Amino acid sequence: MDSPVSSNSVSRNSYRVFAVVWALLLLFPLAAPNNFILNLGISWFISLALAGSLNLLMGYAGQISLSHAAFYGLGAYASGVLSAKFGVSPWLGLCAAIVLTGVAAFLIGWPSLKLRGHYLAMATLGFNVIMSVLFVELRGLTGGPNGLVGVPSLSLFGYEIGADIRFYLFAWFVVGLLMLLVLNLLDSRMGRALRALSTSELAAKANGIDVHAVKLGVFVLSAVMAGIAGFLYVHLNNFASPENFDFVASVMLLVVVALGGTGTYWGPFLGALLHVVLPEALRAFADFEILVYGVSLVLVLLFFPGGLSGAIARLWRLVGRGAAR
Amino acid sequence: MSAPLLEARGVTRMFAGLAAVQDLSFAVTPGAIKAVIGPNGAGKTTLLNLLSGFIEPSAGEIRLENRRIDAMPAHARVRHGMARTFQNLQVFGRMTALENVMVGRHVRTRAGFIAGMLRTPASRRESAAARAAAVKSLALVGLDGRADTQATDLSFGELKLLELARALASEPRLLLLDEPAAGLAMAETDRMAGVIRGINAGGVTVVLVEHNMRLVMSISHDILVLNFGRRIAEGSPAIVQAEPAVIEAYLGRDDDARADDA
Repeated sequence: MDSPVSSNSVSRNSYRVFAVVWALLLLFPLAAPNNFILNLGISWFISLALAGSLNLLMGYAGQISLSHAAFYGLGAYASGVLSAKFGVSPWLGLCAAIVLTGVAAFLIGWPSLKLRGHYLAMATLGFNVIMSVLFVELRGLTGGPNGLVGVPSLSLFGYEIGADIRFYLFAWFVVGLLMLLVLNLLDSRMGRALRALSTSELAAKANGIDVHAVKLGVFVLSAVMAGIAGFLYVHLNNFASPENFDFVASVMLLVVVALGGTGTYWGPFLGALLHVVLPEALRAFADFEILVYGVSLVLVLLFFPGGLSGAIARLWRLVGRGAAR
Repeated sequence: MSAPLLEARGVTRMFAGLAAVQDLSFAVTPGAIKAVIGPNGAGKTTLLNLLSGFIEPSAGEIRLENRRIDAMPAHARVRHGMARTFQNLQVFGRMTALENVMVGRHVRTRAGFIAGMLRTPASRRESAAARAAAVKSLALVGLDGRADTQATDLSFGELKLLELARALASEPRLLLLDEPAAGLAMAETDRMAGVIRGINAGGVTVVLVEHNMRLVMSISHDILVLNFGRRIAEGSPAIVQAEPAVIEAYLGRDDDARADDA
């Protein structure tokens, strides 16, 4: 039956599909004709971590963040600055990225999530603007508007993880792990709690859920996940530039999640694909890219409220019905 | 006489200068089914919200097993053995019936974010136990055949039972029901009455706010009648039905009727 509201449950099948998808992704480098395509694959992993983290917060817990690009940037600059300017090991940089994004999210989330209404959206909007200013103005650390250069690549057991098949495999492992952790979470006690409160905070409270604590926990996790994506980004490109982490980038991420389908596990997989492929396809539009995103968001929300994944699921059911006939 | 499970002492709640509940004192004995009735606007739902912690009293005390709980947040009261349902359904529509009831196990389980993400053995065991308990709760209200149905695909009557099953899953000693029969057909109301009686027989004390007199009179041991936020009568169904103040509150005063006739 076609329910008016889509389910946000995790089924046994989700694990199987995830295992198959992730195994197939291991074969992608064999099929990729050149480094350019391989790098699109790496970008997709990073986009998936970002979209997946925002979807956890927005799609499942119903809280809107307008600063996911800032957390992404904070993770990138934390590890990038420490390793490029202070010679700190990127692995310690990863720890710094996790702690910094987690603490920042806690400090923003604690007061704004106490209030009723979309205060988190407003607080995060402010945070993104502040972070953008800091990324540009702290020239001594960040390199200012020209960007941070000289970020070292990662190395593991003496092997450098350059922007090739090695980084692909590394990103495959890290993002796969993150997405598996998300899947586990959704099917756990706290996962049910966060899915519950997005539908009815009243009922969540009546069932003993500390709504503020759960929202705060999800927000922190989601920010940390974006920070880890930033760590991947900065050591992949050996470079960070402030415009990748500004408010517009945060809005784009929101659109990516909506296009893929909010509150469905597979939505971000499709959204991330658009996030990676569309800019290449829209190269001719250059600065009008955000306009295309905006228009497509409006169209999707009007005609496919479930996003791409919702549209595909609907198509799937139609095909199934046709086949059954 | 055993000590009361729940006690209200001088509870008052003001809304913009008006008292929705005024200086109300009453007790609920363990094992009882107590109904709160009264005309529209009598303060019944306000009372239920006060008891469950969704609003705080302007004055007075609420005690659960002699522990003051009137400043305790709603979610914390559930841990102490209080659960409630809502008059206008508050079901988690995107979840299955079973998952809805598993949410009700929240306070009886412990796994945090990290344990859930890592799928620790303890978290897995707990989830499995929560699932088993939820299945039992569903069976208790007769929804065992609907466990894997998405909540939005259930009928109105089934959703009311689902809320009840979810509240039961937290193993409450006190269950607060806000109009459990509202919107139900007569057969469904009788089914609901049977379910509530069964829950009570299992040792759960019940306080219900209800308009449906058929349900109230058939299952209550004890009735509290409110009008304009004050108690106007309290006692067994027979006593309350014979009380002139109650008849007056529901039917209007004798001389009002005469004035209408003229």
